[in-house]
Amino acid sequence: MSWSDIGILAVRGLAGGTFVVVFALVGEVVKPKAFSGLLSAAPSVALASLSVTLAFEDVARARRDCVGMVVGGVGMSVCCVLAAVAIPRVHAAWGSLVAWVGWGAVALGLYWAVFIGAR
Amino acid sequence: MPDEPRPGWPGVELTKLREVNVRELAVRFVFGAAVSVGAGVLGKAVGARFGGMFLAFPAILPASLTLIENKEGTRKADRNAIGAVLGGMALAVFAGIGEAAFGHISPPLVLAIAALGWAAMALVLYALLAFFVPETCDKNQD
Repeated sequence: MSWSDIGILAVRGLAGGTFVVVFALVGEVVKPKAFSGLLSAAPSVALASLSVTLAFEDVARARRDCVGMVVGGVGMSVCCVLAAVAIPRVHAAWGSLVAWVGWGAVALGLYWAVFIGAR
Repeated sequence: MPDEPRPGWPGVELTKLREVNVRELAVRFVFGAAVSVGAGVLGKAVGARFGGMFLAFPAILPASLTLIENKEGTRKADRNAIGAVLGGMALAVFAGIGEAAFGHISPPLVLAIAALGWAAMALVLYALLAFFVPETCDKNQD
């Protein structure tokens, strides 16, 4: 990994953190909570990362990112359903863990099925 | 007698900004930065498609839900998670627009259209939720 790659990663991190904070602040001021929840699953990291990819790399990479992101988006929906079901039962910390595991299972499973197993 | 559910249109309460503390924002910044860097590293090491999957990783959801539960209770954390389900579904629309349009029209325009597509889909899903399950979008309680 070159110094240039490390620099791009640093910009990615800075942009990702900033976008997440901006969406979180918007989510804080809107109500009701179900509406502010939309912003908890906003494409903040995606907008930041794709902007950096377009600025420093190429459109083809951005397109391939989006192909993978479709799979991740399906996982995100399942993860949020799991969070909504689990949180009233086991509280936020355990509910969040269940949701993360669910995202991993669905996203990695779909990735394998679509991009590896299907070949 | 409790008030009737009032789904209505979402409102803005700017005074809530005073309740936000720097530590909470720092936690979210760190999660967002970590996922962005992680997606970038995986994109280089494994492939752009694999890294791209992590652009839809629920980075701040667990932190947000835990903070909301600690500050405002389990009910509001649950309502937030229900909203996130809709935002998550709309995320696939964002990615689908990017996949279909990158390489065909100006890249910044693609990002703008994808973001608008996400917002439009999220709002439509929220309107459906407010219509069919009004108690989940009750401004009186949440």
